[in-house]
Amino acid sequence: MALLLPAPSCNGSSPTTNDRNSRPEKCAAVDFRAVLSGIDELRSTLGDSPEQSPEEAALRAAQRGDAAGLTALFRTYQPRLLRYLRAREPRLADDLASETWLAVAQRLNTFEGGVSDFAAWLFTIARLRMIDARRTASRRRTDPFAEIEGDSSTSTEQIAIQKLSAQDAVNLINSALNEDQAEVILLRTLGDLSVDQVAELLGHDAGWVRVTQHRATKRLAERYSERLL
Amino acid sequence: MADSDDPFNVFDFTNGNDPIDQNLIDLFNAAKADATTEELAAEASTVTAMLAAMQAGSSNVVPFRSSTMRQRFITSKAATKAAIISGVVLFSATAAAAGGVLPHAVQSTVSRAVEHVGIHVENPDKAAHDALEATGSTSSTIDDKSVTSSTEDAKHSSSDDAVGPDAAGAAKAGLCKSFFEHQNNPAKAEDSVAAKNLADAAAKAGQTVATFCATAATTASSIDDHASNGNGNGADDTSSSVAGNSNTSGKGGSGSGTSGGNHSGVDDTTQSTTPTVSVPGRVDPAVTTSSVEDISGKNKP
Repeated sequence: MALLLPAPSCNGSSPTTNDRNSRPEKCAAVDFRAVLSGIDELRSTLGDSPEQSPEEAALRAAQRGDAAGLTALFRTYQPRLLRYLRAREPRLADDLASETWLAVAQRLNTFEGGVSDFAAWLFTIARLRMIDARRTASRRRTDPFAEIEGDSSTSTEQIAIQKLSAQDAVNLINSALNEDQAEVILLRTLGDLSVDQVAELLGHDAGWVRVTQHRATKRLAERYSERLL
Repeated sequence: MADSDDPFNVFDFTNGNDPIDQNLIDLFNAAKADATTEELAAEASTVTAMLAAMQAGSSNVVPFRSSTMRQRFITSKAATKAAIISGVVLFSATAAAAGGVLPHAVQSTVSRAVEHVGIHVENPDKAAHDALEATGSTSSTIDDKSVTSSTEDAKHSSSDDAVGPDAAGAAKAGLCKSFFEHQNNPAKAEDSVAAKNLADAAAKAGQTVATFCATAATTASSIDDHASNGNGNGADDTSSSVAGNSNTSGKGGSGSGTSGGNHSGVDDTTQSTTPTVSVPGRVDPAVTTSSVEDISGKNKP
């Protein structure tokens, strides 16, 4: 299972260039322990079973309306959610993320499932909100920022992957692939969604997702072997 | 499948046949990098909003659902009651209308309404209309209009009972002008009540219509000339006054010749004692008749 708890930079300290270049596993391990202790405290306070994973405990705490549980969920998923939305709908990403979290809060007490289901649920809500926003914008056709199409400053020739910011990396993936491929890769990578979950979210079968994913990775590999290697 | 457990195994479906390039692994790692403070800037406000939403939701959920269900129950009961009451009222109204005990206007309305669904209920308007047709009374036309709520019915009954203008009297000039204008289509002219009246008047005088109208033609042509100068008094109806040899005056007239219909001006002219002729050219027998009635009614001393 992917690490759900926030990295050290999530605890308030601003990440530096060195932070970005460091291996994620390293950062996550430190942060994992830090947050784990908080979750353990939370678990004991709420009387949860010690067999429950920290992520599960945070989710259950959030479902009970506990601020610490909600904060843990937010710290875990907000960065990836925001990157996904900024890659797919850069103009409205922040608003869409806020709306998504509010929608989550309104239905969290009725949510059933584990943390993996929660991620799929979260990204499903976000994607539906994004589609609604696009539909509304296309009806209005008066958006003054319509010409802005994401951050085009990222150049694959100039930037080494190790030095990319998270959003730059997401934008590169998004720009290198077609619509479906980008959707699959971003949901699989950022949302940690399974093939079946992505298939359900996108309204296709698992085979379609696997084929799309395969083509996407092949295309990305070709693209970056030409330009970066 | 293992790929659902580890994000770095998303490409394991290739079973090692298509190993992932290290650059792509780095790329995906970069995409999943730690959060920045900018990305978590909205943490406090969002968590607060989420808490508020959850508290609002939890305090509203149960009462909301129960009140919704109660509301639905009440609404359905009210709808059922309303439907029953409506049915009873409709049935009672139909029954009462069938018995003919409703007030006049209500009776005719109900009669027309239920006639659309094939139920015949006595219509007092129609009965009155039939009675009028049977007696041939003209004065009852007014009564017929007064009791008819529908404008169409009013028009229908008035046209059926129309007696037309008096061709031997005040409307002679206008009718004769119409006669000459419709000479190219005499059949059409003969269809109207006014034309029949004109023919009857000519027959009574022992003349043909053309001969009968010959005397009026001279006057009418002079009227046309006068009206075309735009100096008329603006009253269509004064043509009847000319034909009837009434004394008229342009004193009150301020209209624009052929199209100006100014009743106040006509009122003034009928009260005037100065014998001048001022008449527009266009004469409509039907208008003339009603206008004459109006004028005579208004000018009653």
